[in-house]
Order: sequence, then structure tokens, then C-alpha cells
Amino acid sequence: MTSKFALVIANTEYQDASFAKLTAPGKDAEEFAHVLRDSELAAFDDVQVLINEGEGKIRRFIARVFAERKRDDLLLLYFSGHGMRSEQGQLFLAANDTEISILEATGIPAEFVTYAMNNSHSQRQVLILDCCNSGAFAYGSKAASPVGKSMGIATAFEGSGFGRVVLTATDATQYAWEGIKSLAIRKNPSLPIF
Amino acid sequence: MDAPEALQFNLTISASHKSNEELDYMTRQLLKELRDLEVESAKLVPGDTTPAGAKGMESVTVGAIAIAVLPTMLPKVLEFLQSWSLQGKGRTIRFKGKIASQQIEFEGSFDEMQKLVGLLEKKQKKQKK
Repeated sequence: MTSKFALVIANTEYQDASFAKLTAPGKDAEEFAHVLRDSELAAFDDVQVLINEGEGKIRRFIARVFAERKRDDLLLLYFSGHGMRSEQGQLFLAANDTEISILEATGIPAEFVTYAMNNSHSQRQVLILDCCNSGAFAYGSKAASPVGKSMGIATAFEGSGFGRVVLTATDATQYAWEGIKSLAIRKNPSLPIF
Repeated sequence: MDAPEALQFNLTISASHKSNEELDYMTRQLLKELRDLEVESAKLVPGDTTPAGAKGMESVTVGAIAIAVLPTMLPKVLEFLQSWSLQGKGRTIRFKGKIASQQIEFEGSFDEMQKLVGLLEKKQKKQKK
């Protein structure tokens, strides 16, 4: 039997004062998880939410959500928070205890996520990165479609469709925004985007 | 005997028909290659302060690298940069810097930079005489 699993990660608080505190990702994550759990909407079987957790715990949960799955299982990983690149251009996701000065040692590298996805038995994977420079996730990988172009997401998972879809908020050089800039497109600014 | 003072300058690369994202990756690759040469330092040039509400802290000026190199190594670095500029169609490099001991400010292309180096070498030879 096919199952749907999701891991929703958001960070708003950071021990390293160099990171600006965020406000929207926590609420966005909770609301997104609500949509995923809703039996009349996404109807996911298992949705785990991590908010303001450290790098070690996040890595473990990412590894677990992709491990020991069946080929038909649908896996979704969502991240909202600070993202930044190393000097060589590799994307890192910032956790609660990530330190900018030693980013490579304390951040979550995109390569780690790619490794977990590549080694999962599941052939139905969705990754959503809502952070700055998130388009750098494709750095060094072979994208099925150029960044910024339509990838036919609507049909990718219809019925028993297989594949991997990666949605990024930005290209490798752009800022992703929380709060006012994204609220501007909403009719009701008090509601999250989901 | 005093150690020679490093020359400090910024180089800005551009390439026709490349997106901002592609140019950024080219810059980072060039930075890595410059560091493999015997330069004193090479780093990305910071951009403006990260705006409030941005989900990231990175801010760099796309295409720009700040470099410090000893005068003796400058010809080798320039030779490398010229080679780099010839590897792709439409690649250009502009230089901007201040050579403290010489009190010379400059801003120009690769050719102009080479002319400047030639002038500096002549000046150094005259001073030795």
C-alpha cells in the first residue's frame, strides 16, 4: 500500500546573533502541516514538524524520512528559514545552532539532502525550499529542466506518477522573503500562505 | 629589508549571454582558481547589507573579487586572468584598485592593467638605478 510521509522544518530563532530572527516560517510550517494532514486535501499519512531544532536533530529526521521506504511511497520535505551559500556556492540550510563562521560544520548542506533522496527507495519525492539562494540546490546536479522554467509539476504525481520535484523560492543568487513582501500578495495579511 | 607591499585591487568579470546566476558561479570558480595561485588573499566582494525580512544572510557583489598579490606574482596572475578571459566568448575583466606605495589609482580593462604593470616595472627599474 502506498503511503505519504512529510517532514516539515522551519526555523525562526537562531543562537548565532548574525542570523536575523524570522517570524513567518514557524506559522507557515504549522499551517502547511495542517494542509498535508487534512484528509480532504493532501491526506498525508504521517507529517512530522520540526521548529527551531538543532542541526544534528534535523539531519537525523531528514535521514529517517527518506530511509526504509517503499518504491511507491510519496515523500515530501519542506524547509523554511535562512539559507546561505558557502564561498564555493554550495547551499546550506541554517538550523537553530548553525554558526555562520563555521557554516560547513554546523549547517545542513544541500548535498546531505540530495544524498538522502538519492539513497531512498522511494521514487516519488518532493522537496520545497523556502529560503534565500535556494536555487543553489541544483548546484552540481543535473536538473531535469532549467531553473525558472515550468517543470510540469501538476502532472508529475498524478495517479501513480514517479519522479522528483524540487521547488525553490529563488534562484541561487536571490533573496527569499518573509512577512510584508509575501503578505502583499495575500488578501488577508493575517493568514499564512497555505 | 622591507617586504614588498601587496597590490590590492578588485576585479569585476562579465560575460555576455550569461545570467546573474551563471555569472555568480563563474565568479566563485574563478575565486577558487585564483587561490590556487600564489596570491596573498582573494575573496568575494561583499554587497549591500542584507535587507530585513530576507531568509538568508549572504550578500555579495556578483562578479567581483578582491585580490591582494605581491608585485612579483602580478604577471603570473595577469597571465592567468588573460587565459581565463579567452576561455569563453564575451568574457571581460575590469580592474579597479589603488597601489598604496605607488599612489596610483586605476580602473580599466585587462590591456590597461598590463600597460600599468609595464609602467610600474619601468619606474621600479629607474628607482634601482
